Amino acid sequence: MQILIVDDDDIALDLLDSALRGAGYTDLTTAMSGAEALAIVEATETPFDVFLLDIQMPGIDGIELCSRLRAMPEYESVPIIMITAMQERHYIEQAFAAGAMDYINKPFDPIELGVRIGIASRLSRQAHRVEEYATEAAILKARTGVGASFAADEPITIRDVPRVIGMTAMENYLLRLNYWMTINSKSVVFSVVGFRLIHAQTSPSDLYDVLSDTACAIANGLKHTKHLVTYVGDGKFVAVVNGRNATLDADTLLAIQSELDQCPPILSSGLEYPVQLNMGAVYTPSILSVPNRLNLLLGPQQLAPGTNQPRERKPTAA
Amino acid sequence: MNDISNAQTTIGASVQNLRERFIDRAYHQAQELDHLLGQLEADPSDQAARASVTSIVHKISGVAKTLGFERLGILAHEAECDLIAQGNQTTADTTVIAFEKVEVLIEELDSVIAS
Repeated sequence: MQILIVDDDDIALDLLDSALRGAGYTDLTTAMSGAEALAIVEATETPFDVFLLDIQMPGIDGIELCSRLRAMPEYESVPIIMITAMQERHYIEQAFAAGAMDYINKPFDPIELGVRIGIASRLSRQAHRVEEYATEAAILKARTGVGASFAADEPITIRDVPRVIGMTAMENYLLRLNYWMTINSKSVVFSVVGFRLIHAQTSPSDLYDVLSDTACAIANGLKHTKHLVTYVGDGKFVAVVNGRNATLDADTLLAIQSELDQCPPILSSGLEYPVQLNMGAVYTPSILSVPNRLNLLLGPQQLAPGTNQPRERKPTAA
Repeated sequence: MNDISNAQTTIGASVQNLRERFIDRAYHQAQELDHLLGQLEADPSDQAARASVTSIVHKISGVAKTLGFERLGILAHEAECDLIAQGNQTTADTTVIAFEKVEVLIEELDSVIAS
């Protein structure tokens, strides 16, 4: 497994190198700047399997480097782990929003680092298998016209929408929040009404477009907050917002729904597909409640519909 | 368990070597921080000097604890948080407040070097 470690501090770089070699990872490349890292990535013949990036670096910092790597097709799904002394929520959020999958604080435990890289490596192998499957599916589609499908409850990753991250990344983000960060968060679940019907009626690529447009509307509706959103399957999106005073109410849903009504997803047939959303109860941890965990946010109370009543919608001509 | 003990042995040998390099570097960092604080005392609006201080403190904060310099790591982290929280406030008063912890950090660096 090829690992690229990027840190502008030579001692930190050697420490990380030693820790990983001690854990049995020997195929390591180091870089002392974002620019050097990008040059290495562009020149390498064998793609890297995992990236370890420091955040605070002069020039191209770790966050920007992460974004640039994610923009490369071959590194869309590769695990990127930020490792930094910056514990403030702002940096954690930025890192995950830029596409990081995990976040480790310095000073790090060398043994823990090895374990986390192991987990990242398994995810990397899964990502390669998905890519191979996608290639096979593309070949199949070209021959038969039938594309790869995904199950209604499958938590696919919505790409290309700012601040919408994968479910694994969201799980790791929530785990990285300390007690006070968690107390100062709010979470809510948005549900696409009649999703199972939409899943049954549309092709996989159209369904992805519906979910992507919905994610975009949700992210736009929350744009005045510091937020991250993830898709968890079954037409459900979980939004985590920073700040107990952040507004998450019926007006939020109204703004999101308004955008979806004005610009509904357009299917490959040219028809518009109206989407209606419900918003669950806003979850605000109390001092005595358990910290945020993604599975807790999907409990019955959080999934309960808000004021909107569900009604079936059909595609209409654009 | 063999894997873990092997990893610990390998890391242990490297850490000792890195500790020596860290102490060597700490000598120069302490001098540089002292010099930069002098510059900032003369001109609290010197953003380049402020950025340099933050960068040095960040580097110390990132590795000190892992290398066994726990108190130094804690002081560096606190100083870094103060520097970031101060942001662009550049009055003489706020500079003094923000850099008090850097001065404490310099004292600890001197202590680590001396020991």
